[in-house]
Amino acid sequence: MNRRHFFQSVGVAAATVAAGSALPLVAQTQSTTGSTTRKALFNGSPRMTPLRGFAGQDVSCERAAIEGKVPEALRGVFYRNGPGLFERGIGANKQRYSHWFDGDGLVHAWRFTDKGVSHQARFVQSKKFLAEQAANAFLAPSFGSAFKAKMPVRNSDDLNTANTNVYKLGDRLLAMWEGGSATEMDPVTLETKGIVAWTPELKHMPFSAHPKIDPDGTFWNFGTLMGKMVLYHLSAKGDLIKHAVFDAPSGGMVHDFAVTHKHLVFLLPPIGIDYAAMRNGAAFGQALTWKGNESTKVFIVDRNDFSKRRILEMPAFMVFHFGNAWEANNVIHVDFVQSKDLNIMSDWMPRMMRGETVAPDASNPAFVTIDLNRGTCAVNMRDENCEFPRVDPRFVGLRNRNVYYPVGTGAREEGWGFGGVMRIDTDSGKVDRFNFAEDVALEEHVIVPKPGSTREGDGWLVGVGFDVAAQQSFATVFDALNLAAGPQALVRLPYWTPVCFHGHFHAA
Amino acid sequence: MKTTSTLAALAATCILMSVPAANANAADLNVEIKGSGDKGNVMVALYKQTDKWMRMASGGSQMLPAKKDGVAVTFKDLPEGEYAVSLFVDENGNGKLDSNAIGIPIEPYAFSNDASGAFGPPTFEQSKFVVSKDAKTVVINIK
Repeated sequence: MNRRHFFQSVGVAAATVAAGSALPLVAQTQSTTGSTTRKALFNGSPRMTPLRGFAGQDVSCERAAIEGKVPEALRGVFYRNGPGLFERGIGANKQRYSHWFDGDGLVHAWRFTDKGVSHQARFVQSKKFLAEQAANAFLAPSFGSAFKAKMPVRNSDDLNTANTNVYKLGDRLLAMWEGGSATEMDPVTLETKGIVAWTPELKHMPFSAHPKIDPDGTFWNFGTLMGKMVLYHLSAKGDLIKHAVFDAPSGGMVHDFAVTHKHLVFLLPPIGIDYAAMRNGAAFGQALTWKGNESTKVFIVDRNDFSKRRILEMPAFMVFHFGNAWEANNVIHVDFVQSKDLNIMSDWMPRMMRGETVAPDASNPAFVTIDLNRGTCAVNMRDENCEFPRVDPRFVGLRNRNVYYPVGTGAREEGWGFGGVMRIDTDSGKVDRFNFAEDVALEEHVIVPKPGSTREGDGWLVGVGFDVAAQQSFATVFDALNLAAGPQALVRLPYWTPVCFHGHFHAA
Repeated sequence: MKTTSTLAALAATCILMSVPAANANAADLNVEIKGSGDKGNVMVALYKQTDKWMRMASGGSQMLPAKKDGVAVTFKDLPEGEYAVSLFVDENGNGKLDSNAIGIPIEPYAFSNDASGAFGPPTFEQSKFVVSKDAKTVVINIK
């Protein structure tokens, strides 16, 4: 286990730079929201600060403080998205979402240029956000908080928070949320342009926040809603090539999937929906039920012909996120992060949102092999606690060796976030990891290939995190093939931001 | 969630034409519709309390070109009683309320009282109003 005192060694220089780039607007907003909510909600736990969220304001920092050295060839925009607003109203009318997934999308752009690194974050101006901002009250039902609707809900885009992921497809920056349409943003200004309808028939259709993108940019996605599943195949420019709508092979929530060069691969956990609970006022997320005695379905679709579909079964387990899939000789290899059931989402996340610093259930690297000839599946698991797996984007759907994760450093007492980053070499089983000595809460990290290189992992691992002591958010840059060496650069903002879920780095 | 099939029925009921019978205690109902946009036609259906909601509009139905400043229709000589209005904007003029691939409407629609349901139409009870001896005006905002 490598422990480096990276922050400490450069802390003085960082503080000097940060003080010179003050952001009065953010500082004021953060101090006022903090004074009203810190104690009641979070018992003063400084780790939980980002889960307070913003009050709807956009933020920016023209020059973040750089500790270490950002590689000269690392240039581009690191877009991130996550729920940024959790509270509205004042006094007796104050409302706070009870689920992390409920917050309004806040899209971030970390721009790595020759002048340094800037940061900008803007709220997605969704229909819901605009109406609620004007009313200073939550009006739309949310995923996990049981609010009575105070605005018409005609389709899922009336609830669309656009809060889960962001990807630049052709010229359009798409903020994505799995229940409804993608929302188009301006990639330069982060202005919201509106929801995207690929065809009239696909207007207001679910478009998951976990598209899979082939190395050539070909874009695959899916959506599930009301017992139906839709599959999308788009070109690298964002033109719809084909789609299909059919009865979903599983009833509840489907969050992510994987692609090989031949197939789309889903692992569908046995999640049901308690419609009676919803009629009695429960939110959608509260009405999801775990059917542990049923199977997790392995759903395989031919990429070239969406009508060719096949289902295999495995014992029940839960999955949110996939790293990659590839296949050879009619055997599909899929890696993902596995947990036991819905508990992390249905129990731990609401507790986290109340400020409880409790450890979630384990979520571990898992590897499934699917033998298409025999119709059998086998799973191998590891014991590291982690989430948000990513692979080198040049190897999506292809034989990859490395999977990257933010990883728990042991006790998992942190409440949220991870203390380290990890690369698993799936050939050797060896682990390359770095644990921060300082109290940090790391989020997803992505691989940015070095320009001109072709070797897997030749590039950087770039992610974000929160420095608990300094109450500041930062971005990290690691050598993606030597995480143990510690970050090459740490780019620090003079403020904290709400936690993000996912994002993509678009090289310049 | 079977409500989308009910919503699709809205299209069918709106093109049902039926002529209400004259009545001694009859009153006129004016329906003012705002926010329709100026594309296509506004299709308005009037339901009586005794009708099968969203299936049969025996109060009659009317079609008129959408206008940016809004449109108004009059249902004449209505017997006293409880009524509700459903409407949609047939933006592409194909005579029906278009839906996406899973049956969710993609053209604007609204109900009297500006009532709304969750992923489906509101109930008659949510949308109803009373017509008595005097002329009545209801305003519906398409949001």
